Amino acid sequence: MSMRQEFVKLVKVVKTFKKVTAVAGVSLSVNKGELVTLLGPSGCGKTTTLRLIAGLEIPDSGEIYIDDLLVSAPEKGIFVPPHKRGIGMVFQNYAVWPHMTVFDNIAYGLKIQRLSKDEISRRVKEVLELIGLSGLEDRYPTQLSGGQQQRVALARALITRPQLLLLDEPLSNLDAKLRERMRFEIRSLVKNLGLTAIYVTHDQAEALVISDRIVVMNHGKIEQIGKPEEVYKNPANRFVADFIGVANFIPVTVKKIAENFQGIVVTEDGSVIRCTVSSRLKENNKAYLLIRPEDIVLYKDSPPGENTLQVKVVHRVYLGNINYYWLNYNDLEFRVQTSPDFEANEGERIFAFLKPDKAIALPE
Amino acid sequence: MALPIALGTGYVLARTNISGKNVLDGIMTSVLAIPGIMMGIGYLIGFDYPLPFINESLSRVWLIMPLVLTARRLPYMTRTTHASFLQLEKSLEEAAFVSGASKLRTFFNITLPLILKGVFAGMLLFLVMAIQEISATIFLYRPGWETLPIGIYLQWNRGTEFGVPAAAAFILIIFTLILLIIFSKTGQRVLGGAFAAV
Repeated sequence: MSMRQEFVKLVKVVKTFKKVTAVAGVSLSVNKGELVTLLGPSGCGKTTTLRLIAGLEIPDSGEIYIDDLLVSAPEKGIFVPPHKRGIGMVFQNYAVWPHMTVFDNIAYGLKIQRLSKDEISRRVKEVLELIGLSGLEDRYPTQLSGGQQQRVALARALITRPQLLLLDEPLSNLDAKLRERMRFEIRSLVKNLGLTAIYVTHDQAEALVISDRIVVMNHGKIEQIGKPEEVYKNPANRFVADFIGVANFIPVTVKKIAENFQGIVVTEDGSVIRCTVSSRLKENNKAYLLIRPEDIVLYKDSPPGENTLQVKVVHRVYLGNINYYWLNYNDLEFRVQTSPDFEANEGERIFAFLKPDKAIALPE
Repeated sequence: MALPIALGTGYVLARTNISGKNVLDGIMTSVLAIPGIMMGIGYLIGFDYPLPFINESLSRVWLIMPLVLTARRLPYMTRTTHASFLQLEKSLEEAAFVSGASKLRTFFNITLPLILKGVFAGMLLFLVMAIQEISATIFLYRPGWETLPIGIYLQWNRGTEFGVPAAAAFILIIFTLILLIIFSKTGQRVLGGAFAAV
């Protein structure tokens, strides 16, 4: 086995379906033992990227390496078919085989390897225990719940002891509670087995919980790669900020950029706001000021000074532990999260203080 | 005979991206538009020259009958088979690929068992239509190889007796009915999509 860190590598991979470019030159490295998610809206190319790695799609151009082995390189005429890539994969719709029992579903990969019957049943038993399905060997998939079926699919992907596990929105068909629990289970499973895993999802909360690193994709391109807190706190652009978490944007003009990307921006009505300025912006550029709902403090009657905007309460929702406000500022809607003690009525004029260390000016 | 053809075209139509597959689909289905009489006469004249080796023209041996029946009623089978292929989730086959199975192995372990019901339903429908066929076969039958409908017609035509054709017709009806009952039992899942999937 390779001693290098890099386990999966994509170099300028392109894939077009008829006239639609699904993956537009994606380059990406996934390290050994790392759990990386591909996150983005539907149609952003995340699933196609995963299928290219699996060998279920053939790229138009570019190169894909798994464990230092070149598996896809159309320009060199190289294509290793999926059954020779030594991977495990879990599909969104489970894809457990309805005409086989749980045991046969899971054992399939081992039967192909022509292992002895004893060895097969020993290993199936082992993985059933690992996945929490012991005792259901003889059931047919139709007799199982969605959650159990997905566990069978997971067991089937793990039975051949692959080095690389690919997961294509594995939890999106499950109900919310089960989904939340399975996130942790999948993560600890991957970590305990020391697997390298690539996980596709459109659910940003899922990506934040499960990933070592998140790859945010849009229109077949990578917008940003980073640890969950990096992508959340320091998004590369407006798309990433909007896609991960709740974001308010205020159109501004950059007035001054000082050391460490600290700067001053001015809103359309002339309010001055101190914030961090993206490295991709220059003075006098138009930009969007990102401020998250939890980074705004509301005051009923503080004198407006720096970083303070006058706003009108449009709507309030009481959520028990928090109050959630919809505010109107210059016909912009914005959302603020406060303690349950702060109470303001609909239609009331109040003041919003934007925390200077949390606000970020971003390029479009 | 119809089975491998239907499986083959169904797979090609549903799972590959060959250019001209729509033309293939069109040709296969357009056979339905040709009247039986035309096919019967066409086969009779078209194959009326001696073949090599057996030194006998095809239209003079019994084999012409299953041939014309297959050609004429094949669309019923390719349609249902095609529909079964379309209904089969692609990921079921892909799950086998990533488990280490080759395409051929996947076809026999996963694809075939899962579409068998639909193929069986198509085969029954094919049989029902073929067994009742008279318009094409009446021109082609050989003595000793009369099908039931031809037998009925001949008996009635001779005008000797009315009881025999009546009894034969009754047998034909019962037999067809049984086939149709089996069809509706197995085909329920497939029938809905069979012709809608054009």
